[in-house]
Amino acid sequence: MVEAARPLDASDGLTDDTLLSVRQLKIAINTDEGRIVPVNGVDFSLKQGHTLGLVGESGSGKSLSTKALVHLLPNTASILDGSQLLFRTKAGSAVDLAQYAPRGKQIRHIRGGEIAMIFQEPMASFSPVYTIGNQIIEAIRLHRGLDKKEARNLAIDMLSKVGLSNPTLRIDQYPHELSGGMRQRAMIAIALSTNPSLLIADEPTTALDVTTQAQILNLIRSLQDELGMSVLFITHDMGVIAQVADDVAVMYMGEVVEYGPTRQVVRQPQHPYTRGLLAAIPSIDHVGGRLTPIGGDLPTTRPDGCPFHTRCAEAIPGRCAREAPQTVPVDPTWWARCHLLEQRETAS
Amino acid sequence: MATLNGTNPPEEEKLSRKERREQKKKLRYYTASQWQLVWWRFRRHKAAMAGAVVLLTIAITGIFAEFFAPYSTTERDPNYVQGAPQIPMFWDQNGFSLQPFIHGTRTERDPRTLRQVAVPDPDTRIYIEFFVEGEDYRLLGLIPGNIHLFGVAEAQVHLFGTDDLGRDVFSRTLYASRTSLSIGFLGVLIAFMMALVIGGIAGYAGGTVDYGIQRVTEVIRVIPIIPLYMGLAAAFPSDWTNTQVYFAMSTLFGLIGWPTLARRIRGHLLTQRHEDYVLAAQLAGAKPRRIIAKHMLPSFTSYIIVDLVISFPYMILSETALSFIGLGLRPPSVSWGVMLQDAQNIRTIEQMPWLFLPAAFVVIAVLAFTVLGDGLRDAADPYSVSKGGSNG
Amino acid sequence: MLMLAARRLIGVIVTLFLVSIMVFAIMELPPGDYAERYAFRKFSGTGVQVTESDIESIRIDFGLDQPFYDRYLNWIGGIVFEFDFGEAFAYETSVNNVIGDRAFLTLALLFVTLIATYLLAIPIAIYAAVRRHSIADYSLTVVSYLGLALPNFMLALILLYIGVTMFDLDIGGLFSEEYEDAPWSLGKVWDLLSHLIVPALVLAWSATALQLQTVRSTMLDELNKLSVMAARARGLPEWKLLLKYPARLAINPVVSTMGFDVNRIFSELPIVALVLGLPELGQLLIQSYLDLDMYVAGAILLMLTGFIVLMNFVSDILLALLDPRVRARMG
Repeated sequence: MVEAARPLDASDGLTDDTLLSVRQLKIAINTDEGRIVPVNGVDFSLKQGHTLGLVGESGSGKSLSTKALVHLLPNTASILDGSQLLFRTKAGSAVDLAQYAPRGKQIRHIRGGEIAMIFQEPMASFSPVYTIGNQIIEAIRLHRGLDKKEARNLAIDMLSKVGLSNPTLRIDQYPHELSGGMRQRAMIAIALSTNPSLLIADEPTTALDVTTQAQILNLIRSLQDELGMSVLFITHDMGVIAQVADDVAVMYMGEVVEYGPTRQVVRQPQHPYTRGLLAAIPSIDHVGGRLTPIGGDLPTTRPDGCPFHTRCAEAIPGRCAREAPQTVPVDPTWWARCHLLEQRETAS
Repeated sequence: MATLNGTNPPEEEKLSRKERREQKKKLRYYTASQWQLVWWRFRRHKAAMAGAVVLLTIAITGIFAEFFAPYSTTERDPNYVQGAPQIPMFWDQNGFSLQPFIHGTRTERDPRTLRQVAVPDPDTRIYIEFFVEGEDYRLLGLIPGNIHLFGVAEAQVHLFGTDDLGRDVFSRTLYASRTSLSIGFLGVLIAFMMALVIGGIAGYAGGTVDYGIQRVTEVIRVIPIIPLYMGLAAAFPSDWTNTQVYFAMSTLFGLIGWPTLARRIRGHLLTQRHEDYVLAAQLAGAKPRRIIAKHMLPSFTSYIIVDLVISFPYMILSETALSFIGLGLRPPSVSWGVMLQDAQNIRTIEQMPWLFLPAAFVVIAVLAFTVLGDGLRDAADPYSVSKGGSNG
Repeated sequence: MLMLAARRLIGVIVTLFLVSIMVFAIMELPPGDYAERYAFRKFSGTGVQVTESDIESIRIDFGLDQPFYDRYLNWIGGIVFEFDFGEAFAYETSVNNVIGDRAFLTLALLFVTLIATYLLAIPIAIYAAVRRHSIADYSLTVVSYLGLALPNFMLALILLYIGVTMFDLDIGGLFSEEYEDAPWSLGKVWDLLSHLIVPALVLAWSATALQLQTVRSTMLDELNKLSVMAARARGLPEWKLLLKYPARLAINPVVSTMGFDVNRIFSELPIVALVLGLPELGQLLIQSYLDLDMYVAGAILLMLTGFIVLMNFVSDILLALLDPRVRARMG
């Protein structure tokens, strides 16, 4: 019963329209104080051409989970056995990225070539001592086998595609000569210059001001339409998710606690934590009203039972603190991990 | 923290003893003063703790050298000239003894150099005694006494051997520690005061004053330091007493050593100058000197202490270098550098390698200061954990 | 870029001017004056009675009766316009003659030392940073601590001791006996180079220790930069990535501290030279200080410092060439 509640059956491969399916991803990190498991069984999947929003507080493991896809974890971290990272390559075959050697040639081909990434701080994403062009051309030549001149032309094309004015000038400029928004555009140009099938955007707008944020979000969306890639969008901002994502996965303490189509989740959040996140967004309808923060702090160590029970106002005494909840389906594309839902289900 | 929310009281009652202890620890942590935190962090730094212990040992044996050293710096042992170190033993071919002893010596002629040399005689034992009466002295120049930590009844014991006049190298090294460390200490003190005044002015005033002081510091810093010291030390009149040279040298180190410290203090002040609390003090009518001394300096006392500890080794090394080439302290003063002067000649080292032992003291002292400084810096820096210091 | 160089060059001249005043002040510091020392040196032991009026005439000969700034101008004027550093009374010839070859030997020693420092420090530190917490990394930490604690001249003594007792080898001096006074030839150059290695390694000891630490910690910082992660996410091979991104930036602090390294090496040079018996400027400097032969001492101090200032200039320019941010800041 519980097994069938999973959005994807663990035994089969990828369905045709699915680009990426992450199943029971667990990541361990060795620290001075011992081993911790900041990502403890993450499940989500992403359809081709769709955008999945991964949302959660800092420390929820959302960034680690996506870095694990291309083996960009810190040296002290490792993906635990049993994790599956199923991905459909451009060639059409389904592969398990978790099986790739972290420094091997295969994963290097995936990085940049099939899965590209952009990061939170556009300034720090560039090396200050090379020109923008140098760093774009590097990526193009690596994955597209073009000669220097062709690569340069393509780089200029990409820069104009992401909306940089005067790309023939920009290409020879250094990162510090560009503004934050321009740098993020250039970063997107690098990421998309190799025509990847998946773009991982790790809080790409957090460090930008609000108007630039909106421009960058629009740019990503229009490029997605044009190039037909999928986007995995990481943010702590539920408002951004509502704008960009088709589906959403809400993460808390290394687990996905709710997964489903963004519209439905935003309208009828099933998990108390999702409700908390939504209540914390300011909205035009409630100007002047108080925002409701989620009570308490993120615990320093994972509590037994449901990880959220220490901050949950609706926790069932005696149960939530002891028993870890399983995924409960709301409909075939929507599930949450909460005892309250189970109770409701059995009650109905 | 997990239970602060209080929405599920049954859970709260079930706090295990371990959890409660954890909470108490946390509470203690949150209410600890800055210095307590520094101390706790410092204590975890094993190398720095070891450095502190080593330095304390050298300092205490140096300050109370009269007690710890069996002989004075000038006493000669005519029966054991150029003698090798005598290592206390508990057993030899004649059996075991609970009281440590050394072998007696007899004089022989070296077959190669044809000089009279003292060689150990394995059949005689001289037992080492503790708290023996010896030469009279005044501890710290005040307290009279004649008890030495250890010694032997008839002959003399030389842990580090003797030099070519038959003087005890161990005793001389202890006295030398006192001179070398105290010159460094005085130097650091003078440098610190100058740095405080000059760096304080530059950092608080900023602008032209700061620029002028910066230029001057730059010129001093560009001249290689030891040649500069040598030039200034060469100017000491040859008829100066050793005490005069001693103070002149520490003043010299202070006068040349301040720029690095001043730069740090200036840097700290410049970053703090525009903080709100400084503005608040200014609005309250406090004078610049008071603002610097009462408000700004305390906010980085720990950093200043670290800087002072780190600048110590440079003073010690400078003293050693200057005295080593004969431009610093001169005999009959005893410092590490003066003692090493005897080991300048390769022939001497070949014959009496133990004359090089004071060098080990220099190296150990400098190492100890360096690890101590590193430990203090990590302890004083709240971000040291996340940065993961080079030896953390 | 040219503007930057020009501005820096003016700074160099100003610094050199201030340095020359300080050096001249040091020359004037020792008690008594040059004339007394000259007379004492020249006539002591010869049986000639030196009177106060003799000293007075020497004083006038050397222009010592003039005020400080006149004497300074004479001195610096001689150096700048005639390349004349004055008289070395202990050697009874001009300072230029005394210094002669030694300046060249000093520079040769300096450059071999610098090259040794960078060849050792940069690759080892980069390797240690990449393989953090490995044995190589820990031993690097130990060595760099030791490098700061064990002064070069003590290392020189230890090496001498080991050389003499274990290999019956004298590693001092800069030339073998047969080349000591021979004219310059290919053989002599080769002989010099082979004799330079030990002194250069001794001199490089503490500079290397310091640079090991600097490069290692910069490299560690750079390895954690997002730009490295971004390049990795582009699929760049690891070794290419390390060289192009973090290692390239870890060189910057080395370049920016080049003048400091020269300063450190010159600072340690005299004593190491004394121990190893190297006929170069540092050792001559000690001797002239002990003789109070201040024109020689002043000339050497000025040369050493002048070279440091020059290296600071070179390092500024190199840094600007290497780093566009520096160029932008300095305009």
